[in-house]
Amino acid sequence: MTQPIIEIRNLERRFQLPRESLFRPASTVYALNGINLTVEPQRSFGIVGESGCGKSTLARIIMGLDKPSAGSVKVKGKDIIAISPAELREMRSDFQMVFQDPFGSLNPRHHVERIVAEPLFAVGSSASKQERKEKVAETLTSVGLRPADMEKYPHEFSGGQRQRVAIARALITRPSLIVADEPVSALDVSVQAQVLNLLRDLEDQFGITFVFISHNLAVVDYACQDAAVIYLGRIVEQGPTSQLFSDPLHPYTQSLVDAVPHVGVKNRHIARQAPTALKTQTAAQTGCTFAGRCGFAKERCRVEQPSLRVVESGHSVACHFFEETRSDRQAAAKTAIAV
Amino acid sequence: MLQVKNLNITIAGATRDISIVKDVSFELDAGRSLGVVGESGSGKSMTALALMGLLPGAIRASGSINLAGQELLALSEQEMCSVRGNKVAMIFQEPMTSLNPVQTIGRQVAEPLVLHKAMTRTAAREETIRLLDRVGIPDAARRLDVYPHQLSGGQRQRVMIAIALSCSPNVLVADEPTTALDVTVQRQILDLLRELVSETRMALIIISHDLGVIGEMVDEMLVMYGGSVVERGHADQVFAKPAHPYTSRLIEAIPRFGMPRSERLKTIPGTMPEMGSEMKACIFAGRCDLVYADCLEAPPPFVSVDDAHVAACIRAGRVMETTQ
Repeated sequence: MTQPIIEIRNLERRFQLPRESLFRPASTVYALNGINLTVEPQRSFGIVGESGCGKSTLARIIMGLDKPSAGSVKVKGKDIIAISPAELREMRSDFQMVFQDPFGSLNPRHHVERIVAEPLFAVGSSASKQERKEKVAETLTSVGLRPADMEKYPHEFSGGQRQRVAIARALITRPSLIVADEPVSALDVSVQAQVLNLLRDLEDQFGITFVFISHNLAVVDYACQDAAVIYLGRIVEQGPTSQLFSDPLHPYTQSLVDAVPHVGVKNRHIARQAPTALKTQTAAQTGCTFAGRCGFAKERCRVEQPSLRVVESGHSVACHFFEETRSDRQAAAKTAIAV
Repeated sequence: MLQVKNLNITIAGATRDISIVKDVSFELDAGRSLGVVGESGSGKSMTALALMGLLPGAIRASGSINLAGQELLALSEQEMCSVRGNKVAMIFQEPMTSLNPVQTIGRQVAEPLVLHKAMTRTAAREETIRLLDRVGIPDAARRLDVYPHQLSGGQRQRVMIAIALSCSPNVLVADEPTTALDVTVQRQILDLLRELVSETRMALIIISHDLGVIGEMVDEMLVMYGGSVVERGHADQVFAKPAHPYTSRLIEAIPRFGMPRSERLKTIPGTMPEMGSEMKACIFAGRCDLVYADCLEAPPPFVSVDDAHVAACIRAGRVMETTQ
């Protein structure tokens, strides 16, 4: 069996809140709670969830930018929490990150050559100036820009082109893993399609695995083979995207899939929508985190935290009653077609 | 009720005027909804600001915006103040920046009531509770005294809607009302807007780059590209049989659930032309794969392809046939 590219075990990240009173202990937020996941090489992995669910914290921890409170994170078999900063720095050439906002993540005072070549300095590459230039030119070509673009500054590019520059910067050290935090959500639809196609080409061409963080389910479905749905710091469902979005088992995944607006579906009424807003989870409460918003919640859900159970190969869900929600959903789909 | 005719918006430049919205025309009746869809730089937000009389200083609008017999473009700023927030109201994309952070939400919702309806503070307070309750703020009476930062994004957008609704406007303009929100919250806000339209018979204009939101919410739609309307029609018709190549390519560029992995997304090569570039040809000609010699000679006229469905493309009929 091949070695997984990312292996996360029992990951926890707690944040201490400021004290509200002298006489009470400060409360703790569980940004991530008991996360286990495995990303196989060449199978891009999507992380889906609403704002505040912990998906960006997870990305930062995978990149070694933040330390977990408990648990282990292995990238290509190496525990990135235990290793020294120097070793981490050395490993950096193998995993890179692309950020959401192509306007904020590029230094406006640097020309593209310097921006794209920067990771080479950071990992201590010994390349000469000429070699560096060639490498930048080559990388720009592979993201669909022209080598001559290296003399330009970020403001001379459109949003889509800027995101290509950001991708080129991640690509220049020839990483095998790129963590992309909402890489297309700031882009227009037609540009988004270009960038998604580019990411897929890079996957095929360089064998890069992407960890793709997004709130857009259709984008994750298109860009990734596997995905995990996170709710309040816990994985509630994970599996191959082909199953996850066509046959969602967790009530939360179902409400996400149902909430996506579709062309031509007018005046529909969704009975099972999550009624209240996301709250941050302070104490390690008992019961299912989603119980308060769930239309199916029963007594057991409020008492016992459901663990992730494997349903089909690779598809697992953290819900006590997923069989019921599934058959309800299938029945509802049948009547909808009959009507 | 609302008639917009040949709306042109120009920026006064140092050497020449730059045209950013060209000849936009549409009509909207009470209780109906219109969607304006387009990418950044297509002029959709400028059109919305023109309706509100909120264009920044150096930007001028010409043409006609007629609201229930009143010509809005002819009004003085003072006269416009009595229309804005009263007969035409607007909700913006980012509810955090459009609410005043140092005033309670009760005060902000009551402001237009005191201003336009000359209500007393106590009467306005009663009405504010009713409005907040109507837009789904739980425990509205107690929430009057909270500040915007104490609310979630979805609740802030509900407060914005309550402010917009306070004077029962004839037209509500919603500029990307759900772009900053999560999908489940977006769903709630869209459902609320739809309920309010059927309840109050106001006309709704939704501006969005999200074709899903537009396709689900509106009766009629405009597709804008580079400052011009390229297609107009009933939303169902436009989505089922787009007649302009831009609309057609835009719909194909959206990832769909369950697309086979082997399938690539269709893209539109190139980028939108610069603002104010001279219109000697079809504005989409540079990116169109159906371009002919006559596309480059003159801007295309609107071609009617169906009942109230028009497209600014001389091959509109062919585009319609080729989309499945």
